[in-house]
Amino acid sequence: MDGVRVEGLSKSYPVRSGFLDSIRRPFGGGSLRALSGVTFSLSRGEVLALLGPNGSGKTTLLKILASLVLPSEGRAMIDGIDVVRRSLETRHRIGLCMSEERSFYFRLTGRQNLDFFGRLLNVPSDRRAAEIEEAAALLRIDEIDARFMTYSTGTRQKLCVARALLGARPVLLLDEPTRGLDPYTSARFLDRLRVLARKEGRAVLLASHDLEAVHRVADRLVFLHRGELLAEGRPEEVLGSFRPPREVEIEVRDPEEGWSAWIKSLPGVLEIVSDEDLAARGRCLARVSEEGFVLEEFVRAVQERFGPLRRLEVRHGSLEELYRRFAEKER
Amino acid sequence: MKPDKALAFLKKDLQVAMSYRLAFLLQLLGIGFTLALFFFLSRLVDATMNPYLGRYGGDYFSFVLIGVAVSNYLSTGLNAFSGRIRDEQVLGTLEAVLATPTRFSTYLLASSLWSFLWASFQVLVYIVLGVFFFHLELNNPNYGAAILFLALTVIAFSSLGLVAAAFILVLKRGNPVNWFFTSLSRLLGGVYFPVAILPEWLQHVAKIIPLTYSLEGMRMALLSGQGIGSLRGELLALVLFTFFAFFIGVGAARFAIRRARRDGTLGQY
Repeated sequence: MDGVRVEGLSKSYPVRSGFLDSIRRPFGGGSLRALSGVTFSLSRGEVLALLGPNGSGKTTLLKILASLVLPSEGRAMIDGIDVVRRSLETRHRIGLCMSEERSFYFRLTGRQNLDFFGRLLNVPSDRRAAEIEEAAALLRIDEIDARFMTYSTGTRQKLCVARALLGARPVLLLDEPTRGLDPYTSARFLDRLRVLARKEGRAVLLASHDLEAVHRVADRLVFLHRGELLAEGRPEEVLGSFRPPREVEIEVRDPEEGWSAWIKSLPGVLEIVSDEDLAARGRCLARVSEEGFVLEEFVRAVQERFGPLRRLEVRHGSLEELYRRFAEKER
Repeated sequence: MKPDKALAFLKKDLQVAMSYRLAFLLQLLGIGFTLALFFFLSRLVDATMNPYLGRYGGDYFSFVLIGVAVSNYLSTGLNAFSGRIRDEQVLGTLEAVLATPTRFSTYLLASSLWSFLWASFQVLVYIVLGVFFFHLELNNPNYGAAILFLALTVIAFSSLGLVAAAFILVLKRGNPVNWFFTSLSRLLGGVYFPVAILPEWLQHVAKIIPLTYSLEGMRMALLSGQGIGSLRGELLALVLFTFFAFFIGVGAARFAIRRARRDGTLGQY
């Protein structure tokens, strides 16, 4: 069953320069295209990552799914229910974490805030306190009884994530949930997301700039750029095709003396980064060219000479480089 | 409106109010000062304005106390919805609340409950302090008629408050509805002095202001003991105003929320 489905989803925001402009041109004026014909689906039990540079339409897409913004064209559905026509029903099914860290009452404590939102989310009173405790423990919110206004950026983000977990919603919409979290909490939360998806059958839509998080948890990803869906598939397929390797690390069983120099002679290899000590133990780290390097040919050549590899690790460029490539491709 | 959601908002607003203890205390003290101010003013006014106050029992203090109490509901009705939306936009909580399975109408009503309860509490304090410390005298009051007028007043001004909320949702700042009705009603509606004092042409203007009928009805019911039968003119005017204001208010709020969702400006301020 599809937890989320969007079909030909487009969104244009009207651009007005103030009150007088909206009087002069109530239906006219310019518009800003945020989404353009986006189509994809997310099944229950699956984690789908939403990648894209700033302004690519990720937040708009999540806001449409949360009924906070109306689409201009196309349809969006949560659990098969239209988010425009039956928004109250779809809001019963979503847990939402937006990237807005100020979305709590500053004078209340974290617990009072979660209790308030738990009531609005119709979490039964006999479960509410336990769910708040559970979320606070998972995310290590030690300051749960302190006022929200005293929280650090990271703790505010934790509270936002905790709110999304209340009520055991079947669909989780998370906009950069790990932003500001420490690595340990981030890893715990991402592992929990996998459990929620795989074991509890939730659908998780995760907008993120964190490639590590995407690799750790996502089953599939979609890549948005300027409101258009540019790529969709498994993370290694999409990131591999759009983000060529920058470094390759291998380990062979029976290294020969000077074997790393032979590796450097292979097509597309720019230089050997690792030292001779590592080479003597059969390991080699090579920096490779974006254009001339073909991973399959490289692996075949090494295996023909040294037999099956004990280890192969491909390191890609940063997300910034990926975004830059998209921008260059467009030009 | 679901009772559990109303309770959620009430509890939250009480917690927020209690976190500002000094402000809470100062507001209560302010009521006492207001009462004292009008009490001493009434000593001066009673002697000179009896011709105008005669139909209200001749006591300026009772006259103005009802005016201040009802205008408290005017302010609350006009400002509660728009003020709450504005506060939540600035705080950043509006989108978070509206992303929960809570209807916009439920949100508006439930989030404003505290303001209406607080206004009612203030009025109660006005009356209790007035009776025990400032010799407030109600002459054979008709409480049934007074409650009916009060209820219609609250609905009428809350409906205008919906129009004000619509302005806030669309324009964010600058609320002509509140400005117009608050300024005009306080000046011409008979809060501090009888409408009969005004020049004749302004008395005609006062007739298009709903507060004029609210105050006249409340005062005649509480200070002269008049019933609904003898106040049917004021009642009819208030009912008609409330009817139209309600439908205009609901329509405006629906239009505004749809427009804010279409423009993606729900949480902007």
